[in-house]
Amino acid sequence: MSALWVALRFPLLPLEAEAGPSTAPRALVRRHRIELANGAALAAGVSPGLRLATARALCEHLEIQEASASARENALARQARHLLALTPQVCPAPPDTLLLEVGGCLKLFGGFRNLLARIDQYRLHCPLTSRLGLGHTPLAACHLSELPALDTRPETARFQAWLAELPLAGLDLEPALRERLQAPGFRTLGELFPLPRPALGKRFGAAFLDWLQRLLGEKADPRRPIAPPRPFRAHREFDQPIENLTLLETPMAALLADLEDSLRRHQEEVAAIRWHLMLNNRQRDTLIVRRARPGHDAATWLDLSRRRLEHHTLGAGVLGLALDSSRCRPRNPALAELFPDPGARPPLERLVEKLAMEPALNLYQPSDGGEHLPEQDERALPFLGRPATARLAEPSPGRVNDRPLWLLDPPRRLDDHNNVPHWRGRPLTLFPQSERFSQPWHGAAPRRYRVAHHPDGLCCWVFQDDQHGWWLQGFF
Amino acid sequence: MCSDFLQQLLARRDTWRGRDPDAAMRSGRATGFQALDGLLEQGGWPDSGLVELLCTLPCPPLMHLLLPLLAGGDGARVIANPPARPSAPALARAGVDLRQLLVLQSRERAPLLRACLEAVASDSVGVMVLWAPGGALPAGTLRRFHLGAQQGRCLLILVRPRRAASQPSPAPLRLDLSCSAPGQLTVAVHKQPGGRPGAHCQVTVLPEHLRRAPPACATLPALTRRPLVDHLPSPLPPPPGPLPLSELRP
Repeated sequence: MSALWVALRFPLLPLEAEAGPSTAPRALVRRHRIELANGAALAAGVSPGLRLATARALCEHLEIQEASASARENALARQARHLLALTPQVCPAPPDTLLLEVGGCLKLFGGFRNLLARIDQYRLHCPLTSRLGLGHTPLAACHLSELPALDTRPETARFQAWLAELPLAGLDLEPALRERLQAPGFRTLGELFPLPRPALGKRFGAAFLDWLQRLLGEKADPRRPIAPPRPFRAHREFDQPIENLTLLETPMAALLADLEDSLRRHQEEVAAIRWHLMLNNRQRDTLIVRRARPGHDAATWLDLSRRRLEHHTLGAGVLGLALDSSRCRPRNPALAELFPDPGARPPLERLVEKLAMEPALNLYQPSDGGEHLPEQDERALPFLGRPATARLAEPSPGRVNDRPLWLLDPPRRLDDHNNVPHWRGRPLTLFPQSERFSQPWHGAAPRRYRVAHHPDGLCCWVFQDDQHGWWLQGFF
Repeated sequence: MCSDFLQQLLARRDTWRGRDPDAAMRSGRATGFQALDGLLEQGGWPDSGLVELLCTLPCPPLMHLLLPLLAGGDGARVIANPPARPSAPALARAGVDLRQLLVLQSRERAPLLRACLEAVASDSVGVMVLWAPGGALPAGTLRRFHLGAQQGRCLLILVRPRRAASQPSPAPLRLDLSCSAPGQLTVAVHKQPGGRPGAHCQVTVLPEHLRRAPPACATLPALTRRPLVDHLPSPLPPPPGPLPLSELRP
């Protein structure tokens, strides 16, 4: 099957890469000169090459953007990944074009017309202004962007006929070369086609001859397609429904070995995996297993999966088992120590990721939350899935007031006999100094904190508020 | 013959040696309290294994005794099944590295004990403080904890109610704690390798201004009256300065 190339050109890509298309006049500026302007700006008279001050004088509400190469490349790469849904052969042609080889997937989409409909649908939802080109070679697709409405796939000869009609003056060639081409009286590309190739090369340069031959398909024009992202997916099916979860360990180990193999080959690691259990009652159970740090070793993943599975109850027998992974990340060998200290303890994360699989356990790391009220002052940092730069408490020298080591959350109500707080039926002896915590913006009553002694030999931190009386907040 | 047999017997892990001649040579981890260091035969906490603290639960000042232990040494620290929430700023002020600290809670007893046993034996944890969950702890569980802690180079401090003192335990060190006065802990030896039960010491865990009892008038309603009536003259104004200790003590 011969190739059919689709070229999607995004002419306003540098303008629209960050903020999308706009109906307001907008222009791209480089070194105080207009480089690119959108339709509204062009209508107002702002044309490329103008000085910025002139452009502003012409158009009062002109939005100005600085050119950003990285934003442009990112936007192009994002569109390329979207287009992978159409064909695996998506080749970026910088600065603003994507080339898609669709000859191989015509049948999949039900013919040429349906494929064009799919592409039109994509262009409708695409946040960038795009232009469609079609051709039998990549270069032809880039140049044939104004085609009539097509119902069937055109023959190669028709593409060549369309190419022959292209005027030389409109081609994207170097000005000197264009002059040399026009000097003998050539006006269209078609006039060059019947000429002998060696003479053309001798007269207009080898580079031009190469370009022409690739345009007409006389010479191969290999392009490198982008690599699709590669999430791992694998599944096993069983002849008999499996009722006993321990029997799942063997297929799990086999799937994890495949995962490890794949990750090792690509020097990657994953932070989470997902098990799908296809049940006999047409239901599907999904179990997510996470790790504190991304890893690739099957043994740890199997151990964690086994722990996760222990707390799972099956609604019906398992007919199939599928495994998929989160986004693979490149492995960072710099993190591994070459010569570990023989007496060093293994990191805490390894223990935590095992304990986190137990749903009855509550694990957290105390951390200073910077809140005003003591019981809210502390944030419990969950271990897994936490951002790497979690703010941890520093011993703050500014807070010199006495703060208890134990906090009751929520505070415990104290009995009040004759305005003296009682705990466990015995009166507290209050210290005269009090500290006021007021926060009227929370709608809570202000609190006056005091240290108090309990006859049992305890040093307590209590507070009084206007509405409810005395509360026990913590112990020293 | 006898010597060989004796050596074999002494090499067994479960042989209890009343007075260990090497014990004095072994230096334990300093407790941070001179009186307590003097009380313990090893000069401090043991390096690993099970230590039982027997007290009337909850015993909040007990944590002050363990703060130097949590602040020093290597490996992670785990606080398991605490009776209230340990305050992060207070721990950080005491020098505890919060990045190495883990708090573990559970409403269920079996998963808690299983997780603690795993943590203790994992070699990641240097110190674990565990408040014993409700219900009896069989000697087999305690022995597993002790062996796991030795294997994982972890010092496991098990806080148990005082009524557990009458039960036999494989823990080599058992201490009895009581709060005699605010900020004062009385530590008594219940069982110790190379030591005799009954020895005790006083440990001061709170700063002076928190231990000193407030003036007797502080319990009067005048001081604790709500602010709505604050503008009324109080019948007994607070004393101008701190009184000498002897006058304040009942």
